Amino acid sequence: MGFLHEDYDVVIVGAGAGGGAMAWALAQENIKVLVLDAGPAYAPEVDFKLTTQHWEDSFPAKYKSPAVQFASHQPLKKQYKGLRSWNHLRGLLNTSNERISFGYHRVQGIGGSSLHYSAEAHRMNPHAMKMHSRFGVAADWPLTYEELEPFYAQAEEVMGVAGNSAHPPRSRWRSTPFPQKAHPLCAHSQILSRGFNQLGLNLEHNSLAILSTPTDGRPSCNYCGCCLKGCSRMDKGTVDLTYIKHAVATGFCTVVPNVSVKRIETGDKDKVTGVQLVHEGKEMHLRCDLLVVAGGAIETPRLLLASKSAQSPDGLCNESGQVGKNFMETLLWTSSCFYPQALGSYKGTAVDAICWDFNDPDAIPGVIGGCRFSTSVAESDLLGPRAYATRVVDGWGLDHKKKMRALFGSVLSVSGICESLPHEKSFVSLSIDKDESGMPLPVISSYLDEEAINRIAFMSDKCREVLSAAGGGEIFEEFSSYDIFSSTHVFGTCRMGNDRGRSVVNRFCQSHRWANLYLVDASVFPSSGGGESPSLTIQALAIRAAKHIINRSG
Amino acid sequence: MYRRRFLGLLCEAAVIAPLVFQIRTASASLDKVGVNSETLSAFLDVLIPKDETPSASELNTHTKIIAHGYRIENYIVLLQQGLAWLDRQSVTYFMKPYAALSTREQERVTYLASTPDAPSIVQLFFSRIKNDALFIYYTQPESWKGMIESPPQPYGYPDFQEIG
Repeated sequence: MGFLHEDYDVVIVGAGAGGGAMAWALAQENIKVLVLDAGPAYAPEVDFKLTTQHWEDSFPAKYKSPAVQFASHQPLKKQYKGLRSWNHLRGLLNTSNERISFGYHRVQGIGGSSLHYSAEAHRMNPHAMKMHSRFGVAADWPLTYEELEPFYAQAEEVMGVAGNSAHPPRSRWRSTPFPQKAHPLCAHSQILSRGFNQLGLNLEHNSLAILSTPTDGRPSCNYCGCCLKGCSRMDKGTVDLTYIKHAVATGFCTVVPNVSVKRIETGDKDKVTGVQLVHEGKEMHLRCDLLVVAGGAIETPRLLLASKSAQSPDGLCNESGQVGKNFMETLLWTSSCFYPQALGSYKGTAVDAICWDFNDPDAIPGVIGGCRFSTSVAESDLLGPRAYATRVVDGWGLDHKKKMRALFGSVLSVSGICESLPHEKSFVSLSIDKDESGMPLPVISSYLDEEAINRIAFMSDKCREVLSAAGGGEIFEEFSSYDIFSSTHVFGTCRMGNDRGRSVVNRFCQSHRWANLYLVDASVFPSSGGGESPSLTIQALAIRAAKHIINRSG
Repeated sequence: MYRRRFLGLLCEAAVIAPLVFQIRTASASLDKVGVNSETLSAFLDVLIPKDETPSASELNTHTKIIAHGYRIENYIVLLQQGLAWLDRQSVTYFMKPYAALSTREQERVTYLASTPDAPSIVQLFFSRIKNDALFIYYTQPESWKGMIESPPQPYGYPDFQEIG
């Protein structure tokens, strides 16, 4: 507990994309930083299972996942029965008549959710950053793509992003080439690209924080497809192996795992003074000169709302009433089918190919908000014999075993992810139930309006068309956000903006009221984008916010 | 980032989910000591027989599924009821318990358990135990022959671009 007796210039809560990038950017400038995270540190070669018989297990969390309650039970409509999740062996995956939750999925720990992400490193579509002025929905970003672009470039360099510099994603101009050359497309993506091409669409190299060339003491990828299970090889650019490693190397950054911050304390003159934390079962107080919260779009509003006081009776930073509001989630469709030829479809990086053709917010006919499509064998976890035995191959006995060998590696899978827009019925609040430390649990309320359902319907149609055009056979499984809430990407619950009456932080991610408090995670996103993965944008925002802090202190 | 984990969770979620079903009154008279492991072993070998890879029992799937079942509410009762049903059908049709039947006879009784005509508890027994047995069996490298040679690391798949 030596960290309690040291003085730090900045305390960062959360060691994921935002907290890690912030720590790196500050430590580079000899600013003394303490990073706290509620989860443990991971040792990839020891903790991840890819060399063992249990390699098909999902990400091996080393802690009991904190509870998140789900409050919405939206009735499902018969007219949308074609949008239900199902598997040919199991039938409907949600057999009830209301929307259910499979959970909010994230990793708490040093590196955060980058430990289990697919390493997509996307820049926001600039057209999706002006949703309010263009379409009257969500809110405009209070900064432009042009302002963010240099920080994107920095983030890509630190993470080791591979991409096709000759054909960067549409609408995203670049000041520098990708730091790493793009990964070749795997066999599965080569086949899927035929389907996209048949429909006049483009399946391109995805930009990935996965090394294609050995760099920074890490090897290049060997294409095992298991990015989401924890990369034991360490070619995947996770926050612990990049930002945090280099921040600690400066000598100006201390990282302490297994510390839960349960309350932010404030003083006079609209200044944050410290935090209450729990470490090794003991409650403690830590003084802060400057506090950065980077807990994600669920934990950050939870902490702010739980920190209400006489000065902030509705929760910290909540003078606008926007903390916890504007919740946006992962809206997804996935279709998987058989393919009449062995492909080795389990090989390759997790999501090596992507279609941006419908990513602009007006690209889907009749609906506001765009989407992307990508290969999804790995994200559907169709990687090993266990998955095939229980989800793909029907029957039993000798016939089942023969089919296992015949069908293994012969599937196609494609996903769409679309814009999620704020709705008054979608928000994060506090439960009356509390965790072991006495902190109220977060409650997710999620609602899909007709526009959201129509976006999902568009993605379902297109995924099925692509599989068919690619020569795919019978579809055996589909997953939909229509009937099952299941999110990793969540956004918007501490929106940034110029109007302090309608937002929580300013364009530098600084609290409108508490000048020494910054929020750097996807909670500040005013809009979600049309399926872009948020990690790189979180990093860019954090580096930009760090520059603001450095300039202030300088 | 595991933004889209859900499908991957399906395998594991099904295996660890608690069982909710109507426990028949008759279950109170079932053997409290445990599960008829002979019937279970025979049943799993019908689901996963030996061919070029081992049978379920050769990889101890039956003992693993019992150990697994003790961690899940109602699981052992489901096993007991399902196996008792297999034995009753076997005696009814062939006048011998399930484990004493020929493979062909066992397959016929097993087929009865797999159909929608079977009692709902038996359908649940069949689908759940089959799923869990496959999950456990295919966790073992001896079962992977003809699909993959080893865990994906440390070698990865250098041939990932080749179709086939």
